[in-house]
Amino acid sequence: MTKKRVNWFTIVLILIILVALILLFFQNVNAITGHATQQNTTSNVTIQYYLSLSLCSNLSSGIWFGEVASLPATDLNGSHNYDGNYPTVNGSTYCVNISTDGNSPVDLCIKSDGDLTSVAADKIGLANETYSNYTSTNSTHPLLGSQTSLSTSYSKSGVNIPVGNVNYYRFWLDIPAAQPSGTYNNTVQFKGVTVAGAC
Amino acid sequence: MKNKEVKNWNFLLGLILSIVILLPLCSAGVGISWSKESSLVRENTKTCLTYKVYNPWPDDSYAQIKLSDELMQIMTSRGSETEFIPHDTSSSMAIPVEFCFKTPKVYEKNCWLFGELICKKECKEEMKIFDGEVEVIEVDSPETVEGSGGSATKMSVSAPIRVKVQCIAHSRDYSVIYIAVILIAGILLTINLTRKRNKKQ
Repeated sequence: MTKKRVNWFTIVLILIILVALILLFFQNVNAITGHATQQNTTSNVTIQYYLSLSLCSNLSSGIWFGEVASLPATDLNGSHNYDGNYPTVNGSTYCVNISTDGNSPVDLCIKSDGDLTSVAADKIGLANETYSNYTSTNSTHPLLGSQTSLSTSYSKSGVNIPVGNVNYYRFWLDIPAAQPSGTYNNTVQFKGVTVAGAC
Repeated sequence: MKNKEVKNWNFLLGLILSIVILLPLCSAGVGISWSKESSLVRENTKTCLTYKVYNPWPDDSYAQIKLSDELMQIMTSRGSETEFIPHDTSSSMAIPVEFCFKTPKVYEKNCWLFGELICKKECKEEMKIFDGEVEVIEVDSPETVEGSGGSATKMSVSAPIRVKVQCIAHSRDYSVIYIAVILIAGILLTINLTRKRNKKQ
């Protein structure tokens, strides 16, 4: 009778594989549900807010200062600073409307994307472009004396404006004497946030 | 009786005049409606939130949803597709827009190999919270250019968002070692069995 030789090396290898598989299973059994790449979010606020605003058509069309023939120019008026006939004559027609279809008063924020720049890369510094805002308009309001320079970060330009109301703006531009000729542009951005919210 | 009729006519005329004068003052606009201001998510995961956009104004508008600049520096987001919002869409008929972003890896993990393998995470740090806004931006329409020198204008409305990134602690993950052992043992086993079969032949 011949005795069959046991191949211990094969048995040990099979055992090693089995043990490693078991350990691998227990290592990952808790992670099977934990390593998902997409999940639903948990929210802890159930109050609903809604707000809407619209730029008046003259503001939506841009803030233009026209052609300037002589320099330096100080407090050059935006083309619609004084062309209003409603609610009063010589009011501004640069405005932001807060919709009545909202449930929160609104703070308005304003900023620019940078200096007014020509295609030749000449610049009029942003500090030269100023604005003033007020909740009504006439020949004096928004006041030139309250003008503030635009900047590249948002700042509040009207706070706690009730729904259904309008915030009016005026814009001015200073152009230094040595400014090269050209057409200078930038973009001014308006943003509505809930009252006391960060810009 | 006649006085009452005259009063009614005056009221109607006043109303029509107000509408005629006020309407040209408005252009297209956008609105945002939200009911979530904070979100608890795991790090390095894609998260989707739904915001509603509306347009109670007389002109159609197009809008995009995106994260504010301070959150864009931390989260990964492509923003939403441009949405068409028809005029006179009230807040009660607001259009839901899904908006997704991916949270960053913010918590430290202790790894033995290449900074990514055989790691454990203890979550001893405080929960990381990021504040910012979700902005609905009115997308430019080409007809808004009026003059040459000056500033173009853009508008947006925003809702605050607080992203709380959850840390999930775990013990050291030896999976890579186990897989390596299985592979090596498997290869040795195959070689051994092949040799044995060849010897028999």
